[in-house]
Amino acid sequence: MPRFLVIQAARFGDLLQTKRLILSLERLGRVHLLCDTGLASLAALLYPAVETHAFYFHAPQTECVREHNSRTLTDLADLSFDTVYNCNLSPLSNALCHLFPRERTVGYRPNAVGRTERMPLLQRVARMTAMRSTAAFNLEDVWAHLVSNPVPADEVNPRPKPGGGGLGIILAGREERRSIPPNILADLASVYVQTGQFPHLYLLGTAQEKKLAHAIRRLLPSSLQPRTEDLCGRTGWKELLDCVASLDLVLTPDTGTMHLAAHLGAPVQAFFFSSASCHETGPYGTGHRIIQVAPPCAPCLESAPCQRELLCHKAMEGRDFLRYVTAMARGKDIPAPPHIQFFETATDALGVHCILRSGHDPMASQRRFIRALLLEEYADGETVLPKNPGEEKLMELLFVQDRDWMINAKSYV
Amino acid sequence: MNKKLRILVVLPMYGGSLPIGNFCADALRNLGHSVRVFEAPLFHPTFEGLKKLDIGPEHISQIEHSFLNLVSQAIFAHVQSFEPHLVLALAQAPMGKTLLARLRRTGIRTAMWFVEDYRIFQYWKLFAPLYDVFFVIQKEPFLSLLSETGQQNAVYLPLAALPSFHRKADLTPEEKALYKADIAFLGAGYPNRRLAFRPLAGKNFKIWGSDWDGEAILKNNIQKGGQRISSEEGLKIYSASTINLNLHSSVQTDTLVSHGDFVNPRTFELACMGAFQLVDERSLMPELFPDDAVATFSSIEDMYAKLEHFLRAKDEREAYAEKAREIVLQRHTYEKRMEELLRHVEERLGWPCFEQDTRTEGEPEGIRKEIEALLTDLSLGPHASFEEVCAKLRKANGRLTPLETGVLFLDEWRKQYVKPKS
Repeated sequence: MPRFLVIQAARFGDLLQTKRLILSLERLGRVHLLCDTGLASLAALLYPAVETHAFYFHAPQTECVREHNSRTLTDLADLSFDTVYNCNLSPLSNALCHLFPRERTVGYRPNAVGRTERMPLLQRVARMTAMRSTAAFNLEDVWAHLVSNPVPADEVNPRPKPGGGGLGIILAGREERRSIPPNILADLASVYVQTGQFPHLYLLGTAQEKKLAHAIRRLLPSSLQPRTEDLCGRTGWKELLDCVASLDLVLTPDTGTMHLAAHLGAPVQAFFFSSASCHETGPYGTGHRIIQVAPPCAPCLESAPCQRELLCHKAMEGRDFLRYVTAMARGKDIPAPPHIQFFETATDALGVHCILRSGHDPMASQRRFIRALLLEEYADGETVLPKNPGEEKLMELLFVQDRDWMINAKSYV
Repeated sequence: MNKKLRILVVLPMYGGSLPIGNFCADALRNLGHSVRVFEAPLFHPTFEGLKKLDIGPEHISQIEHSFLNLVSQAIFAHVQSFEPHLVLALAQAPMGKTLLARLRRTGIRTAMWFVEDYRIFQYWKLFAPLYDVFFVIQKEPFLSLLSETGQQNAVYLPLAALPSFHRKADLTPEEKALYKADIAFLGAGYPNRRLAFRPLAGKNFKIWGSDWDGEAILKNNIQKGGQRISSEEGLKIYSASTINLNLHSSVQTDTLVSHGDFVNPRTFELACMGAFQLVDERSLMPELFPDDAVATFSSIEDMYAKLEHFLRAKDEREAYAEKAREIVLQRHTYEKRMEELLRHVEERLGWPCFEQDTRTEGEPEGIRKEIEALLTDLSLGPHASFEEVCAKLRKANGRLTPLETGVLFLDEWRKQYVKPKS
């Protein structure tokens, strides 16, 4: 039986977004996963059929850590994998790829002088990340297409279905700019609870978010207090999984827990803003809902400071926004305020994409064109021709650069 | 066509269309045209070298861009000295947009023979309209799609073989031992081939060619460690094998026999050699070869069954091979394809006329007639300067003719006795 290794050295959310790749490989053989030690127990829960190898990617390299890592490397070297899938553009995972024959390593891998080279699919993705406002390729699908014919997108996660347990609120994104400000979060929680659909409210986060949970709790109407439970820092991975699986709805910015909810089939109402784009890292599956805050500067670069005084946060502060979310939560259709887009996730032959339900997406036609090109290339879709100079330019930038076809169409760079 | 043309054939830097480009050049020469070949493969090691430099991808892409510009300039320099009537590019030839626009402005005809599957490479969508005529190996819907891009001169031109090259090889006893096999396959290790061939692992089955890395089950069948095989060595492999398996490539693994449309070069080459082949069914095959010329299979089970059958049926194999050779020699040679290609270009566009007032500066009086006699042999254009002619003659191997020697003498004489004009 063929043996595959998936290297996923990134975070909680990335581990979940590797699911379609892992499921696709499980059809073909035995799958091993190399991930950070901090996520190994979660990986075992998420992927019970996968053999997980824990590695300290990010911890200080003490003697004890080095010993552990050395054992893991020895184990991996003994296993002789048919193919190794390295998902990360990271010098750390690139260094580990030296353990395996280069020709059996897929995704990112060291070139002849040890620098990272990308397979053609990932070269394309790199070009797309330079034009993020037109994004049309979910990261989970990017990784899934490291194999040909991945499992169909709608077979990856269960259809979202309320679990009867109540409303879960994820308190923080991975940094302050990607976290919903507490006062807005409290308002949003009230809006959803007041629909009367949710018997309980759970505040979910790490121990670091305890203070934030307290602050939000104080902002909630008193009628909600008895029905609210603060679980920050009180759940291990198993408890978090059980809790999220039971929820009726998960209210969240772009977080690992959002991907966990999608994995478990809990309905997601996500809020994407700042550097987060639902077209890149939206919840995986059909029927999840996303409010994408999209001022002209979005999506911004996470590593660069905001020069626009957090326009995207401001767009969520106004009364219009709350009115809009209230209507949406009650199933009413009113026009979206400026820079607010409401999407619902759906699947096609390539993977998951976001369908605009209300608001204006100024990049819609470019996004559609890129999606069609991706479908053609990776999902046996119909041949697409550029219909205007704008599409021609887009195609040239993303798909038909001279080096792509003159030098070596199938090579890594 | 009676007109003798100057044709610049631009090869790709590497890949499957490279030998086809060389076959086209040979065929054009065989037809009496003056041919110059732009040897893009000379640049390939440089690109490979770039990848090995310790430079990040953002810088590499800039350098590659500059290098491709340089290659374009080199092609244009050939155009300037050779003044071709036609620039014939093979798929993946390094012809950028700027170069194609420049050629169009100069009135030189350009043609691309896109000997690739249009579903695999996308660049035709932007580049097809930039060529004067675009030849392809697939029919509908590709021809209509080309028309939609604005390319109104798209022509179906199937692949072929070169009889002067694709001949059975005489093998030494050592070569016979090396290449002989009941079943042989020469080609790259595409996913469908890997899966289809695995059940043949225990047979006297030799696999030749590259991109079979990581193929554990067939590792004892893969020859020469999966090295690339030259066209010349391919002839020896084909000649020594009882059955040459020919399964068209596909990246799909759900259906191993893809039932695609175009017919690959291997089909024509094996047929031309009179070597027996077992090939998968293709929708364009029946119009190229009658049923009794090539043995085909429709499914992978059919392939296994027919392999067993034909290993025992020597007479049938010979009958198929003989018929196939006859068909190729009659209809499917590169000479015939090149004639057709030139006819289409001429019918649709005509040829540019360069042959007026061809005398160049610096040329001694009264020498033009002698020079013109040399130009075709030296693959030079009608306006080639006297210096270019002399430079070419100096580089020529072997003895020169009296005329050539006389021209070189004249050049030396001129240097010594004729004062340059101030």
